[in-house]
Amino acid sequence: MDSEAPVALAPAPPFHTQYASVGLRFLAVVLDGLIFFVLFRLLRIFFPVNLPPPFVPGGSPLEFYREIMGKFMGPMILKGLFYLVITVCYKVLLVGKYGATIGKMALGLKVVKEDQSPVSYGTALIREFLVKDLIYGVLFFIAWLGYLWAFWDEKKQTWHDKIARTIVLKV
Amino acid sequence: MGNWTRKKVAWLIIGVFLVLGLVLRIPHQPKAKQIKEAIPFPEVGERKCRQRFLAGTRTAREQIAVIKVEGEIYDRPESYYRRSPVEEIIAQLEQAREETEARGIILKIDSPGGSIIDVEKIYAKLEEVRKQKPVVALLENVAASGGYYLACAAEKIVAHPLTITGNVGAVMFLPNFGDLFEKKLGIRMKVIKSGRHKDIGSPWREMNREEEEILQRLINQAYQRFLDIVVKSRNLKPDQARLIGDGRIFSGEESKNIGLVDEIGTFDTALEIAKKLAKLKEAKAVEYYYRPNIFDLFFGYSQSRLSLPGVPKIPEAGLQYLWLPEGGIYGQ
Repeated sequence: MDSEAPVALAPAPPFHTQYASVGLRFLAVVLDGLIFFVLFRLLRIFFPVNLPPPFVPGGSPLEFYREIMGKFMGPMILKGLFYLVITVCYKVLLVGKYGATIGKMALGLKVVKEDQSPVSYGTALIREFLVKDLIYGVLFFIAWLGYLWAFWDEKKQTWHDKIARTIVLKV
Repeated sequence: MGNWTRKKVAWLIIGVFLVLGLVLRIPHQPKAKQIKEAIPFPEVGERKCRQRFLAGTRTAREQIAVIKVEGEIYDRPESYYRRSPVEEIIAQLEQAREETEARGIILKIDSPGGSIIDVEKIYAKLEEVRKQKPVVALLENVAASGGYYLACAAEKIVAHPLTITGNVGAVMFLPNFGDLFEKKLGIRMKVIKSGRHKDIGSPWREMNREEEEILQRLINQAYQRFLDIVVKSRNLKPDQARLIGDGRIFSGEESKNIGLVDEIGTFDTALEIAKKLAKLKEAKAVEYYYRPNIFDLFFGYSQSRLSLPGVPKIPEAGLQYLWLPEGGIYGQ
């Protein structure tokens, strides 16, 4: 509106909130882990663990292969997919809707976009699934670096924060 | 949101899960029984039994398991990393019993017998297997004493015309080294004992009448047991039983006439009989064997083969269904 010099966004936050410390964020992850742990234990009532079938010599290799695939590998892969879907939905939907998982909510942390506007589902998808699952999965051990980056970053952003352009605040 | 701020809701949820996690005891591992059944690898000390095609129709699905009983039967491991032959035979029988494709068993016997208890171990296993699948015994070179005892567990016995079998009875070999030590080596043995018969069967002295009678009693019990089993499983009449009673050996032909074996023939005969008993038209005879590994090469199969050829080995002491140890009149 004005013809004055454009107002630059304050680089550091004069927000009434502050960046969440790494320790708090870690604790939030631990609490989430507790929930997953118990949840999957509960699910094991309905989906018991599959064991590989015992190897008995004799009989055709093709049958044995089919048996392994059908009775063991097949259900195992399906269960893995199921758990993956649950995990991803939990993170993406909660972060998308409320800007926090249950662990973060309990500690008063919030994930917002860099300009303090709430995150959308798309941002949540990028942050949680794309980066945290896929990219970190490929990077393997280097993924730790992504998390630890928040330690010395000025805005306390991890790699997934940087890519999704979010910050985590303590309310 | 009223009194329920988001924070409080979150902590509530966490609390619920925490309590659930502490209260519910859901094992994160399957129970021990399931694990044991599912282990695809043999445990330490076991060796996986392999199979190879021997005869019959190669493309048939149903199998007849061929399990060998060779040599003297003693439940002693031949090397530290292997089970004893008796245990291995029992394991093979168990495998043949469990496997659905194995419809019958041919027991190839080439043994002069062995220690009574060890022979009975295999016999007990044979009885268990026989309840589920037909067993045919095939007598090869020698199936005397303990070897024949095992054959009695089978439904049908097939022998070659000149197989040496029979030798029903029990024996104990008690060497006497008294003269060797005292006269040749100049070593005198002094035995301090608590009772008169404490050192019964001692190799350092002559045996007296009393001790002979005591040991004879033991032998008679063992003999009676053997005789009963043979008479029962072969349906022998009393005069037939009397013929075999003195422990003599018979050829295959003779034993057929007496009723100790059912058929005269070779392996193929046994296979045909097994197929008939298992009600199969076509079957594949599969031999169970253990593949020797590199340890066997270095440490050898048995360390006790130090005998010179022709010089007979001193047999084991102890109650045995044995004809003679290896190196006896049938050579080996």
